[in-house]
Amino acid sequence: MFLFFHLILIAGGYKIITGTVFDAISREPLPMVNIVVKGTEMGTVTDNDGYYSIILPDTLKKAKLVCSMMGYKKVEREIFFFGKDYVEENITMSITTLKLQGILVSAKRKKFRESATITPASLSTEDMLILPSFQEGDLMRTLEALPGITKASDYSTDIAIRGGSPDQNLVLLDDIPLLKPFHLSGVFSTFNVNAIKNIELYKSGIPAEYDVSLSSVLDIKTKGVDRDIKGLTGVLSLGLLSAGATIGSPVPFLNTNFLFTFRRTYLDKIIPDVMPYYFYDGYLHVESDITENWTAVLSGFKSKDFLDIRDEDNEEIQIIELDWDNNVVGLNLFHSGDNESLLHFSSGFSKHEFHFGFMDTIFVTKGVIDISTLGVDYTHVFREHKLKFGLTDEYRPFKYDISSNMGINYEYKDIWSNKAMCFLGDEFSPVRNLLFSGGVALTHYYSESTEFDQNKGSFFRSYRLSAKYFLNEIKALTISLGNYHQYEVPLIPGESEIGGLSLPFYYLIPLGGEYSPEEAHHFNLGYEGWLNESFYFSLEGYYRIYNRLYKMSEDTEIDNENADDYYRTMFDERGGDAYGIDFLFKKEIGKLRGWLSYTFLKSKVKSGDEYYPPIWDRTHNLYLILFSTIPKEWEIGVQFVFSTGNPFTTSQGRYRYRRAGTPYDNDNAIWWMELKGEKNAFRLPYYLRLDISATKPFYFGNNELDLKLSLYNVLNRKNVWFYYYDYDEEPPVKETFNMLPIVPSVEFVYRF
Amino acid sequence: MKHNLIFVLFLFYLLFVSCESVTETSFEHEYVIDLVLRPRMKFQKAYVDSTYRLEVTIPEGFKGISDAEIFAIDEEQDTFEFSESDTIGLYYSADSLWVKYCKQYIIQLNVEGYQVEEEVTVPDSLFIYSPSDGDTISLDDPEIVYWNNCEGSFNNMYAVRVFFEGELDSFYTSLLTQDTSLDVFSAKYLFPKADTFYTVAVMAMDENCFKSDIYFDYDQLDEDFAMGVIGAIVLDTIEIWVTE
Repeated sequence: MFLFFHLILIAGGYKIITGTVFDAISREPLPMVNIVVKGTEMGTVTDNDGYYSIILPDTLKKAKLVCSMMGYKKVEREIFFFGKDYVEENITMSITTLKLQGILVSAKRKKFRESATITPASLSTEDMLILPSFQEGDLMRTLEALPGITKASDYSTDIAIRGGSPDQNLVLLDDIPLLKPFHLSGVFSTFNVNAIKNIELYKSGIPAEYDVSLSSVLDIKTKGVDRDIKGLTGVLSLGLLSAGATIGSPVPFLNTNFLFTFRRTYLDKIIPDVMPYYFYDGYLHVESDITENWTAVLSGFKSKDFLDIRDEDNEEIQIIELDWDNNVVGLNLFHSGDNESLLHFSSGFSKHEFHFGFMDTIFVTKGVIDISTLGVDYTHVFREHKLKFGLTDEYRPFKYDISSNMGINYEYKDIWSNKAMCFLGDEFSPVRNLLFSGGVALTHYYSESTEFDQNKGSFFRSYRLSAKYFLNEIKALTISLGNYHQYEVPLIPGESEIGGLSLPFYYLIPLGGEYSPEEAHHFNLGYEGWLNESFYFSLEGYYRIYNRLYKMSEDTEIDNENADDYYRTMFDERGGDAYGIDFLFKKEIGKLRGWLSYTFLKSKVKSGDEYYPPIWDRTHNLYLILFSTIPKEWEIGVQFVFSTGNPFTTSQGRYRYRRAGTPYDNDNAIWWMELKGEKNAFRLPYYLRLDISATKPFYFGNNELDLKLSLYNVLNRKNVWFYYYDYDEEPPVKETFNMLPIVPSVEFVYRF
Repeated sequence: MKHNLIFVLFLFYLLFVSCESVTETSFEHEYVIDLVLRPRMKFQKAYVDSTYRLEVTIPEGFKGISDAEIFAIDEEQDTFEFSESDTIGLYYSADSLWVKYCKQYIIQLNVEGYQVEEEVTVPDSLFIYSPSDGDTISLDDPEIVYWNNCEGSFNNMYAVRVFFEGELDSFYTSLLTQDTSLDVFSAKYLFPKADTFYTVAVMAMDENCFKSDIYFDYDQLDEDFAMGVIGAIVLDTIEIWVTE
């Protein structure tokens, strides 16, 4: 071929452009790509090796090639000859969003047909990347836009699901539990969008094998590398908050691929005097085909927050020191047998550590919670059945130190809990158009302490029943019910939330002694399906009853001399219920995509004879999300949020508080204190927010640079977080502390 | 049409169940009483005050309620009366030597027809025996503060506080301990200025005072019409010249 072109060139009067067209992701050559020279009728089609050549008149100094193929974005490439007669130009083409959407939709429909429960809410990485963001794409902030999810404030990514408290959500990273996955006390989540493959949120019909949380399961899987990619691939990102890198590659001779993702805030390096804080997180995903049937997946995760504020005049005086770590390592082994069986071994270790110090010695606390898991499950498909059974064991030792006001020291150590579980589930179709699913789990829970009388060992049973009736190929009715247990609860003063913030210290206490595990029952009725090729909808009503909940008792006295008495007075038993409707209407395919999500929620906590809504209870929640591609390849994202205000406890009066403990004869120190009214009896004004984003790709050879601009709370609406009174005035003036104002952000993402 | 009707009815249902009865801000006036017995003080003081609506303007100088009758009765049935001072709401017992360590007292208070009665036990005496009053201590070489074991202190707790000379609000917080010693001077944040006199106070409190003073729980009276604290504190102080 080269000789042929050489002869043409020798003959004179021609210029030649040749090259190969590749798929941007897999780097595979693309055959049948249509290439034309813009403004002429000259053109060609790539051969089976993706190769093309175009012969042009000698008079041309430059040419613009236009490459097009169904399912790929059109590419235009300007070629300058600079006096040369022969130019080689390789071109990469990216798959269109439309094609990607089609793949996702067909996967979702497959799941819809195969599962007896309503399809778990899911998010694609693309959704998270395009949606308007607060500084950076954030999994937890994007999740808020799904139905059934509420929260207490903008300052936290801690979410409440269907009225349950945030601690009732089980977060799994590659099947390993992860505690408090947040940065900056919850303002950002630790989930780097570039490291995540997919997310599923189970709000109803949660499989029996997850009988360790009352409210939901958030199942997050990390991303590997497409094995068809040739060479190194990755992403470099730079935003106002952090810089990050993702590097991955297949290792063909080991039948392995790996992906490593890391990001870190950088302002502490640029302006250390102003920014005494940093965080980082990193992921590792290694996937290896050991044999034809065996696959191993090794996952690693580490995140860290560090804050060190010191007295400006005397650096030796520490004001706040915070050190907050999460470490996860997991190994999953899969053995697949001729598409009918799957054997899965899992093992993992998760460690949550914190250290928080305030004013040197006024309050110092540290804690370590380790979670070791081991499990095996086997899935077998035969006739109309999909049978799954397994065994899991989870061991959690806990250790907390609390030192308050220099002289008060508490140690909560030598305490551990163990949950050994066996489960069995089956999914089958007894008659046409009807799919049943049932599951049972038997858990042996044991907790022990050398310090407190909390030893407890008992068996707990849980069951799950679901049914789906297919009205036709694309619509179905669902029903599901089950009972749920939770064996550890957080010890937080007041409620399981402080104004919606995630505290930097997290005392998770295993229940034992007189405390039986928390228990709830769920009942769900749903209707889901597609109106046509583009529109998906789901409507699910639910009722949850909490038979047993524990919250830190307001009468707990940390100065109790007897440790057993302290443990016995640690929690108050409560109850509660929640009911509501989740509605999702989603346009999945097309240039204009997005969804409308509506949540109706009524939840109540019962404490003695008193009923009150928890602070994350928002009766009406409406989210409207729209994405669209406009000319010049700009992708526009819009998010509109409207919800009922959160409940709050109002102040109804004031009194003078005189602090007696002074050594002087003069008047006592006086402060105004407030009298609180009925708990959470009032609501803040309605919450409203509009966010917008614009993303544009720029191409550099085979690589792509995305520029993302976002505006959070474009209307700069002053959504109220809480009220307080200014006592500089008489009578005191009611003031508001607002949630996040308008916040711009810029992010650069370079893909190679 | 039928489907539309169901949908409209459903919307009405949602609106109906969304309606919530909003609890009115109920405010019921309560008396606020503060009476803490302190041995070795010149005066025993009592404050009788009230709770107020947030939106009500309180005239400057209005400190409390007058015409209250306050008595303390000791174990020998001797009665000591508190008299109203020039400041409305502030009552004094001019002869204060009747407050003794380890003694019990019944406090009776009558205000506008309401009566409050509380039993108070004064903790034992408390003395700081090291360092001595007037000593100089360097923060680079801090000395430990020692005191005696004081019977009657709630949960055997001691509160240790540091004040700039005479400044009432200068302490950040109470250091708490169940020991009879504390390395106070290693808490450098309590001594932000060098070459200054600081007052170090060690206190033992009864239960009511401890909960009011440490937990800011000012509802230590078992009455619907009154809140506040009636209790006892014993303390000792030393003045220390603090250097770098």
